[in-house]
Amino acid sequence: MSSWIIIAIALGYLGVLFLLAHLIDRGAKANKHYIKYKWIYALSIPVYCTAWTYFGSVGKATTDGWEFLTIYVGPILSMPLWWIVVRKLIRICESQRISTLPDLISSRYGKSVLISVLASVFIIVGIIPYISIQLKSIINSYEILAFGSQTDHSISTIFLQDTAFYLVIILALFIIIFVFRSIETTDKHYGMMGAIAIDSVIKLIAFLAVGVFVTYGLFDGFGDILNQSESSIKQSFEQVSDDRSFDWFIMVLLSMSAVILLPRQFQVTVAENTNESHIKTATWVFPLYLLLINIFVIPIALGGKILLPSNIDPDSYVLAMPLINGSEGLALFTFIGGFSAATGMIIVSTTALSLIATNNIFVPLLLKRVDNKQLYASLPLRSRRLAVFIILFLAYIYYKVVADQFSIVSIGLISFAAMIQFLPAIVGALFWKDANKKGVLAGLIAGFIIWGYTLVVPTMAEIGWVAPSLMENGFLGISSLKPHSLFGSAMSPITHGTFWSLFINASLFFGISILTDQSAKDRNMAELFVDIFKKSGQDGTVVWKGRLVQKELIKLSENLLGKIRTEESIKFYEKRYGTLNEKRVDPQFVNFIERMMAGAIGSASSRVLISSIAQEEEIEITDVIELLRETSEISSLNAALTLKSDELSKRTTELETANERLRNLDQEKDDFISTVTHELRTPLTSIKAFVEIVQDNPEIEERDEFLTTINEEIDRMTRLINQVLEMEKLESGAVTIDKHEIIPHEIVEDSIASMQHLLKSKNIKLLRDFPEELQATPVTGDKDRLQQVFMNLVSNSIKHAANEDPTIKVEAQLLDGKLAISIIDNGKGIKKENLSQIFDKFFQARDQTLKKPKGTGLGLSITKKIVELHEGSIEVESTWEEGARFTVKLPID
Amino acid sequence: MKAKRNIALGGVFVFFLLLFNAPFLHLPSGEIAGIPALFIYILIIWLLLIVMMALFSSKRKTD
Repeated sequence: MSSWIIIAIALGYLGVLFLLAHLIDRGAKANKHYIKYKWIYALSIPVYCTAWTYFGSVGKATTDGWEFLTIYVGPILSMPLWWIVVRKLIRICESQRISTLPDLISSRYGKSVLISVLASVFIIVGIIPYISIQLKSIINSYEILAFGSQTDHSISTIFLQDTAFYLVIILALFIIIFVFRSIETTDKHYGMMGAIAIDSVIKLIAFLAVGVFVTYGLFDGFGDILNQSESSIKQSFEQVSDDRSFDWFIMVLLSMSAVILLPRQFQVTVAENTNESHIKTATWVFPLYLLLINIFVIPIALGGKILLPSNIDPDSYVLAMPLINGSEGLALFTFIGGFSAATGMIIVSTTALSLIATNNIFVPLLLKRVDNKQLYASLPLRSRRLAVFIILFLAYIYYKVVADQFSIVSIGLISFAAMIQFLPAIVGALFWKDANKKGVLAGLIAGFIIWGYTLVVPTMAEIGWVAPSLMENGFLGISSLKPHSLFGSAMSPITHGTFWSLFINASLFFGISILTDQSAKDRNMAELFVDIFKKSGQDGTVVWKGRLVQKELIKLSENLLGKIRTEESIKFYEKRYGTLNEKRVDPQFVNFIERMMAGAIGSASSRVLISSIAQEEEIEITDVIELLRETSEISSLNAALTLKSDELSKRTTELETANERLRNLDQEKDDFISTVTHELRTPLTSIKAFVEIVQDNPEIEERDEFLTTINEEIDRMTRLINQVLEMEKLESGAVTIDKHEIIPHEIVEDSIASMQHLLKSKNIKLLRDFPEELQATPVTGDKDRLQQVFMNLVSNSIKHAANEDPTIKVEAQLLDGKLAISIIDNGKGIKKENLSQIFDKFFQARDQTLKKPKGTGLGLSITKKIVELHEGSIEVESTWEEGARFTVKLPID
Repeated sequence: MKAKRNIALGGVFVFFLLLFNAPFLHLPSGEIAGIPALFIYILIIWLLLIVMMALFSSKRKTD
């Protein structure tokens, strides 16, 4: 394929990526997010899958079987811990305005410049080789596609004659244009994140396309590939060798820490996070992504072994397979997939390393030599841009001189082993308050020396930079110090190097932290870091003692962050903590400005800058304890206040409810008195009228009839007064129920018997459906009171039974473990809208639509009260014009 | 609630750490329908982990 076509397509791809990054950035500024950021965030984390995954996994699978998978098993296993660990990292970085790993470590361990510089140097040394293998993979794949094989990458073809050099320039420009535009390092780079997410999608689709092509295009499925494979190769995929279990475990541990600690992973996962809840989406999207990108690794590895000549490097199988039957289009797409995997990694890693180099090495060292007044925003920004070129240049040189002689995976694993050296310091920073600066320094230095000796020195020996005798005889001829078998241990080189460096690093870290005293600064930050979820809202948790001129502090901030940003920050501060006192500098304000500047130049540099304008006093551990006591007291007071406030609010609600209830009761009482008065006045008026008629006309013909009516009205008044008194007793709780075991069936029958004359007089047909097995069922209750209930209900039914063919039915059944007795009539029934009020006092009297008077209006209310005193219930069902059913439910013993 | 959730997540981590390491990793052997049993084993536990994380993710509010 023409090399110009390949270059044009690769440049076109980068151009599209630049354009999309620009659009995403512009959209974010206008607060328009075309895709929800949680998806961009989740898809940027697969920047973990570099050219190593894309090309190297297949290479590793052909030689070591399942072991290729350990690099992905570690990250997916760590997913359940992300909500605990990564969220804490995000919260700390957000509150302390931290954007890089060395910044995090130096912040926690007393804002030490020494730790900051050391950690940064270790990271840069550890990661530059990793960037170089990405360059190597891009150039290798380009050459295979263009020329059919790889060419000589020796130092003789360098710079302007070399394609890789131009690639380095283009990527450096991308980073400068889209990432390093502002001094603020804690700003989110939406364009870059969008570009990385697009890279992730492209490389996945491309890899899946090759996988499908090999498995179903060149072969007849996975089974077919296995059948055609040599049995020895096939066996390597049937099990994980017993004697490799420890290697497996160490590799899993290595990748588990790399997925968070690698600078590019820290950048996308922690520094670029905008919302902690996005972690949740990432914890399932990322494992799914890793599953998909690995699912065809074994078919491609086995397929390559079957179809490709043995002299072809397994790292290039992914690209070589589509070329077998001349599928140039697919090969080109595969190249773009690998290109995107490598460029994504280079962009983010270089961004992170440039920040680290500037904020953690260049600026702190510069500040020790120059006057702080010379530090303007443009200086760190320019140095960051310069650092991009330097880092990519170093990676380029490493690629030309060293990387070309090793496999992608071997160099990648050495970088992983470098990053795991930060694991003890990070675990200590997040969870152990007693971890101290001395322990971290000892652990890191020892860890990196052993890492270099066991993993880097052997690679240098291979290219002839170190005498082979060191490998054969050990340091100073001591055989127990051989780089690949320290103390005579026999492990694979990477497991060996990782194990010993991490073991000695962690031992020194924990041992020295336990045996030595912690400084007050260390303790202060330890409290803040470990308890970040309790203290993230409290800005006054860092102790500062000293004197400085407030104007100088503000001037310093203006120089670095600009006048507008400083003014905005001060406004924010005053809104939150009150107006600044011009005569006295509040330590809280100093900490605030220090944090603001840390967002631009890192915490160690910011500390140095503040020290340069202040006469600082040494912090004592007692100051830290005092501050902790104060903040703890404030926290307790806040918690107590919140509790009291909640209680007060609850009490207010209760009072409001009680007040409302009292108002309702008062209204009810007024209604009740008014209704009773009205009910009494009606018969009295009628009695008075009849008495006057009889008095005026003693011989009147209807005299007996009038006297009978007067008597009936007096009876009605008596009944009403009795019922009012009874209702009052029931409501006040003065009525006691004399409970005994009673048989409801007998009570119902007695009630009916006492109403026989009325039933007969009205010619009402009585039906009974009281099953025999329920007739002897006992309940606990007051016989007389329950008889009152049923007499009331039967009497009601008699009153309301139909004029034609009047019928009343008594029915009993078991419902929900209760004895349900229903009295049913076939009268007019009750209108739907009245059903809910039928048991209200005087409802009948109030309802002017009903024909009256047939009763006092208290019967059903009294009935309901009595049933409730028996822990039972009463319900009514009715359809207008179709009668009514009253059901009393009584609990069975 | 927060402590319970963290313990549950820690438990899930330990559970899958065991499943993805020896001796559990040595249990599948031979082939199932022409495909290595180990391939199927890894695929299943990987999918199980994805499902568990998706279920955790679907909980609206965990704090």
